[in-house]
Amino acid sequence: MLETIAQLSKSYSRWPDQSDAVKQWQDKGKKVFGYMCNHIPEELLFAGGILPVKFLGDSIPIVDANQYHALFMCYFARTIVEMGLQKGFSKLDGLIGVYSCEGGCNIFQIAAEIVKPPYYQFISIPHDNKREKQEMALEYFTKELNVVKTSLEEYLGEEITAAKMVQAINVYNENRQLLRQLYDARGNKERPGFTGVEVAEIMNWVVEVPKDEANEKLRSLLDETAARKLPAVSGPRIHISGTLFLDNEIFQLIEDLGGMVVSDDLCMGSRYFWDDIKLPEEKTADKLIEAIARYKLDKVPCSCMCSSYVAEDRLEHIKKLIDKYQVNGVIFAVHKWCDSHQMDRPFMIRQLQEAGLPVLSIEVERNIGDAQGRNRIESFLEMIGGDSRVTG
Amino acid sequence: MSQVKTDKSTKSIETTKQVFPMVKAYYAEANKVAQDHSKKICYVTGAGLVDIAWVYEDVLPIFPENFNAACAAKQITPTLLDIAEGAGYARDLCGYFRNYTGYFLGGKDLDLSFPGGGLPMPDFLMGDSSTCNFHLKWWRETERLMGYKVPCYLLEVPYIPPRMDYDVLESHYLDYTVKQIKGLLEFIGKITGKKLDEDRLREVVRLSGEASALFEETQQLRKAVPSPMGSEDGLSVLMPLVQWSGTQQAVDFYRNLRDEVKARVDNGIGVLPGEEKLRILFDNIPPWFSLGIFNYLQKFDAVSVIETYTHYFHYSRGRLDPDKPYESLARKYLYGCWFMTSVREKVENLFARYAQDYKVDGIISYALYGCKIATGFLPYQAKYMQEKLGIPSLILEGDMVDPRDYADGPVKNRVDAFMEMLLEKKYQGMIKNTLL
Ligand code: SF4
Ligand code: SF4
Repeated sequence: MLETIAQLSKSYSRWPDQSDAVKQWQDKGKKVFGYMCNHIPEELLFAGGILPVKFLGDSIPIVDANQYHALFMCYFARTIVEMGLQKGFSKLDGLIGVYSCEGGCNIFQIAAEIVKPPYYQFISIPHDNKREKQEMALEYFTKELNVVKTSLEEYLGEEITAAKMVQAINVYNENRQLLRQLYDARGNKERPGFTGVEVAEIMNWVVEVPKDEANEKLRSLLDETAARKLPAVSGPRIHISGTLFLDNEIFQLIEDLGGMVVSDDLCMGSRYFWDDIKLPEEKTADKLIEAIARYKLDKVPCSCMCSSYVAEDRLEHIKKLIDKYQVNGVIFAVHKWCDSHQMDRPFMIRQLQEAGLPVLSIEVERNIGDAQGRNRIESFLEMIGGDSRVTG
Repeated sequence: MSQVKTDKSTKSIETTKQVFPMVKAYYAEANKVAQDHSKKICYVTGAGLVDIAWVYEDVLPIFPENFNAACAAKQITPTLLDIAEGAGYARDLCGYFRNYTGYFLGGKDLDLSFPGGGLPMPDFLMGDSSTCNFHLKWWRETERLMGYKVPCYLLEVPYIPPRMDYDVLESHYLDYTVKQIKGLLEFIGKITGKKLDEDRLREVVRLSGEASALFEETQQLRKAVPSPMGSEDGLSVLMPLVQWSGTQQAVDFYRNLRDEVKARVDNGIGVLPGEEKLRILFDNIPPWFSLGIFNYLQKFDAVSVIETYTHYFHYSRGRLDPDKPYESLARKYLYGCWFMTSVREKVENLFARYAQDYKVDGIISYALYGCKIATGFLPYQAKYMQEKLGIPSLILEGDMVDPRDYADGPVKNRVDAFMEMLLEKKYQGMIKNTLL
């Protein structure tokens, strides 16, 4: 791994209480909030001077959390309760949740009851928000985000002005653009600028640190790697579909086997940054909130969304990436007990297979499932390697 | 097909006997309509939305969840579940969904004794999320399954977050729900080619409200000691509310039920012939294939006196106002099922109050591995009830229609141990001493 990236890794922790980035922000007298799902309005928090840090979960054993939640929840979410019980979030100033998936909805609230943060907010996002429902869903969600804004202002004791919102949106949009460049650099077939593992680690880091600082680092990282000469990948180029992982094991394993993850539609991947917020012409606070709401509803959908054609829309995104990054095979690595993603999976797999792509589906829990998961990935890569090995 | 051995239940309420003929006649009508297309068949989901379908006379709402529960009662679900899983649907998805999908992916062509002869194909779909968002995904998968040839309208009822309690709803929650109710009525209007009759809408809201109020009165009567109606009946008499809210038929049924239960209370007639030693609150969706579990409790002189599930299909907070039909319906959907209410409100206010009002000694929660929204917080709830109110819970695990992992023996062993513990706790050794 590139030394610069290894350094970035040291600036954050999966445990917010141990994160340098969190500490540095709080040392400036500013607030840090934890969140679990991408659907929260990060830009609004950032405009208020709050650092939003994503709960990444951790590959830890669940010890006490089982007394609080049913076992039938994804492992990622369960580790959030465990980390809450182990005081992993006790330095956070606030928690902000959103009802995205049903497991996460329960788990986040339980974690909040355990942590009892000074500020706590939970957002109800519309899941059926396209076509005939688009306008009414947007109107509702804009109002919901306005409630959040007012409560943040009360908590902070100051207004979140339009000017601050514009600034925050610009910082976040730039961040998205830089991450897309990063993906393009990794996806370069002849001369990849980054490995799959490196990009996975950058994604972990980027959701834990202030985006303006992240942008600076990303810019210099992209400069640094412009002249980098990584060898072309000799094995299969893989797209991963799912949500997130509790470590970088799957990326590493694929690389160890000679392949590389060159593309994904993970929560902690392309779905986090693929679309930009469109700044409205009229830059009033109301219009800006509406722009954030619109972005949240219009972006490449998570499987937890319920609009018609939601799986088709997601598939379209995957297919675009597959073409762009010249993917040879797709791995669905979905968390066990993750209803939304399991629900869309059979259809998406069928469609990709009909398009001629080899597809592997594995279930992840704490990790990719010991020997069995590893063996299945190994056989899959061998199987594709035979007919699409890239030389070079 | 795996052989499943579970108990069927026996009832003590006369009115319950009316349910089966009603359902039978209804399925007969559905089959007739499926043949002669005299009405549009729509599939409805969730808790309570059905009244909107009854606004249009030439619409016949079918409730697939009930079909799934009935398949479970007939113990034919394993074959259908296997088919769905074989097609790639994970075993940990909602059992209702898997059973239904198995039916459409080939199960319906098998020689099985389907309730009502099977599910008639729909002309359109209407769904809501008042129980869960999963329902919305399920209807979207149905659209896909049917090649997008069946139009669909979903009414998404926003989840009530912890910042709100039941008495103060922010206006955008109500407005959004009202807008969608209007959108849904317009959608049905387009399909049927009929203009919305506002008088008819008010009439449906009046009837729905009346059935709701009669049912709520019955629920209140169930607070009596001894319990006039146990869960073995309580769960069965729910069907008319689920299927016929908004019709005179439901009103008549619940008037009879209320009268019968009231007479039992007035005359001190309980479920048990002898002393009622323990009162249980049954929480969550029951295992439909094994409702005999409620009768089993009687072995311990215990009655399951109330359920959370029977709270989810009506409006329990006063009367629906026919003069404000949209707002009334919106409130009904928003307040109906606790699944879509914050953990804080449902555990600390709704559930805790329920347990106290019904004077229960213990809680049996059925944790469904397929139903994340209803199940995720149950251990937290159990801990809360024990620590704050001293009421113990037993959490059983399984699925509401999938009996393949349900082991009757071990379940009963756990129930035995729980009941003995409750008896011991309540009577502090008195029972043992008497036995000695
Ligand atoms: S992995 Fe799935 S179940 Fe878990 S929080 Fe994410 S969307 Fe929800
Ligand atoms: S059982 Fe649960 S997941 Fe399934 S439809 Fe009902 S509330 Fe939804």
